[in-house]
Amino acid sequence: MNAQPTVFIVDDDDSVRRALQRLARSVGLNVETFGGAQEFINSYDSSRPGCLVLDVRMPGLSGLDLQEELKLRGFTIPIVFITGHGDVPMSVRAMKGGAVDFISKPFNDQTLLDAIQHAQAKDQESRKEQAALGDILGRVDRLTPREREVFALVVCGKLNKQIAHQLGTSEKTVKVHRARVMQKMKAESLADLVLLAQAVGLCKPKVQSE
Amino acid sequence: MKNRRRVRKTPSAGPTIESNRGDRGPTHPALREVQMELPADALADRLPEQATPHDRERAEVELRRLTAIVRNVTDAVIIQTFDGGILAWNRGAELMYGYAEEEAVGMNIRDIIPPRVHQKAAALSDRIASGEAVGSFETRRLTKDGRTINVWVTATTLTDASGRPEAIATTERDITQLKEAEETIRVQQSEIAHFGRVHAMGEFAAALAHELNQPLCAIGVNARAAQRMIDAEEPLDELQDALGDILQDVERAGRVVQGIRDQLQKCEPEFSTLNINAVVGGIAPIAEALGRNDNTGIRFILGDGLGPVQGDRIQLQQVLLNLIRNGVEAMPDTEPDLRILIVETTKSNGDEVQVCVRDHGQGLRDSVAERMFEPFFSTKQDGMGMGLAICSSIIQAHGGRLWATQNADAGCTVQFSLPCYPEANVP
Repeated sequence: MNAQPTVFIVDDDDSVRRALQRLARSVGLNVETFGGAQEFINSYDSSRPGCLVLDVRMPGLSGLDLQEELKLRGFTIPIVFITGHGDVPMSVRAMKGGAVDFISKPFNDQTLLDAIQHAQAKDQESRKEQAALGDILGRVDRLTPREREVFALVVCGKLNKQIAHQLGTSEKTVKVHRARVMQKMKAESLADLVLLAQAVGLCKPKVQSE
Repeated sequence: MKNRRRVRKTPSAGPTIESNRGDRGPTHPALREVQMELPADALADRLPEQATPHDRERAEVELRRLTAIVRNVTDAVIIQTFDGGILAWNRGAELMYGYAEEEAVGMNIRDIIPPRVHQKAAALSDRIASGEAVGSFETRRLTKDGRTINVWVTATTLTDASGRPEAIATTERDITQLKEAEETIRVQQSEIAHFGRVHAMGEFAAALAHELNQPLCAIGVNARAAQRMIDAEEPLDELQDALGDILQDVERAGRVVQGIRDQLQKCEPEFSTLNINAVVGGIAPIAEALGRNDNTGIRFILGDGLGPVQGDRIQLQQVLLNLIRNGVEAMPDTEPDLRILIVETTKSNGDEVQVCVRDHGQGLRDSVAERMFEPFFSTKQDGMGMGLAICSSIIQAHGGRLWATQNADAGCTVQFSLPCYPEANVP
């Protein structure tokens, strides 16, 4: 992707935070540290790729509170939780909230680095998906209202004749719209077009409608 | 025994304290009990020339009563010269010290004073001789059978008719049993306090384990990072930093362990001159652990220029930890960013220091405020109700006061005050 991913470390314990930063840097990772959840929220720019390494228990906003807050704001940054307590209900709550990993102190350095790598990969993947989706939505955006209607009916498996009938127009006109849809959506086949439609939620996969 | 003779022979030697006024006539056999062998005309000296036989009789009755009191009182009544020569010795003294009157009169008071106290006793005797009022004091005495007993002594100077100090009269009460009872209570209180500390440390165990885990974790991570730096041949100063951090965390863990050991150790309370801010600082690692365990920040606001206090460091820290724990536990429903406990030291009333623990919780209900310092009263599900009761008795033993007030905004403040002692005046 465009920018180098960053590991955002949020821990209220100065010395643990410095140690984590040192470890991440020692393997060449980009690191930024924050002493509290609020501090992180205030400065976080969701367009920056990376992952979050987060202490569960902190005074004020806890790690779990931060996870919820990020979710509310629609941020999907992957989170690796670190905890000194490691109690089960807490880890369940964190994982249900979408955490990538939940690591108990003390931990093996490689365990943490692997978790960070995993989280970074997940972030990259979801950003790729987001980008692809954005691209398709952009194409849909360029369709005229009539072309969109034709698009929706085509991917549902309707024949030109049926579409013409439904829209109260000629089969010939439908053919022209259909060609434009294929062109604007950059689809090479009907199958392509159906996949694109599915990606943006225009039609549900067939299996589900039986 | 020169002095004794002097007292006997001086015609006007009638001591001015009433218990010793009298003559030696057959009507006053009681006088022999106190060996005040006064001239027969002693009483006449005291009476106006025109005294009628009736006046004289009244005076004699009064004298009889007084001598009976001296004779029969259970306290020892002793009259001694400034050199310590014993002149008079009552029945109370016989019972208390084991010497019969015949033995005692003629002995020196040093014979019933433990050698270690001799010098102090001589100095005191000099002060009395110079006419200084020494009042009452506690000291030790030796009995005939070799026991050392604690006595409470009230000393009075006897003067002759011209007002010249002449002898010392003391009443002495055996307070050995009282002292033993006090000691038993003191030991019990110390044991209860110790029990309270051990109990609290048990409750703090999870938080403390976490607090130790933090530096251990940082040490481990730093060590691993250092290894990687060596492998990657990174600059030595980076490595130096990592090692510096490791050492800091070793110290940090050490402080937590020391704090725990202090609280767990069973020791006699030891009063010393303390800086209250240092006492508060000593429990910071444990306090912060308790705070972190409940997502609560602890803020210390330490006042300047606070006078020294007298106390047992560990017990005062025990009180603080108790108050801090209560404060932290009072805030489960408080907004996360308001969940802060303030520990503040201030000067109050000029000669006191005050330590306040201010929470931002639900505050005190009146029904709780009334009873919170009572033993076995608790608002906690599994609370034993001894925490604040122990705190209260510890602060009282320090001559201080422990109380709670409702905050104007939210929560409550539990605070204690301790008297300050200027360094030179420490008792």
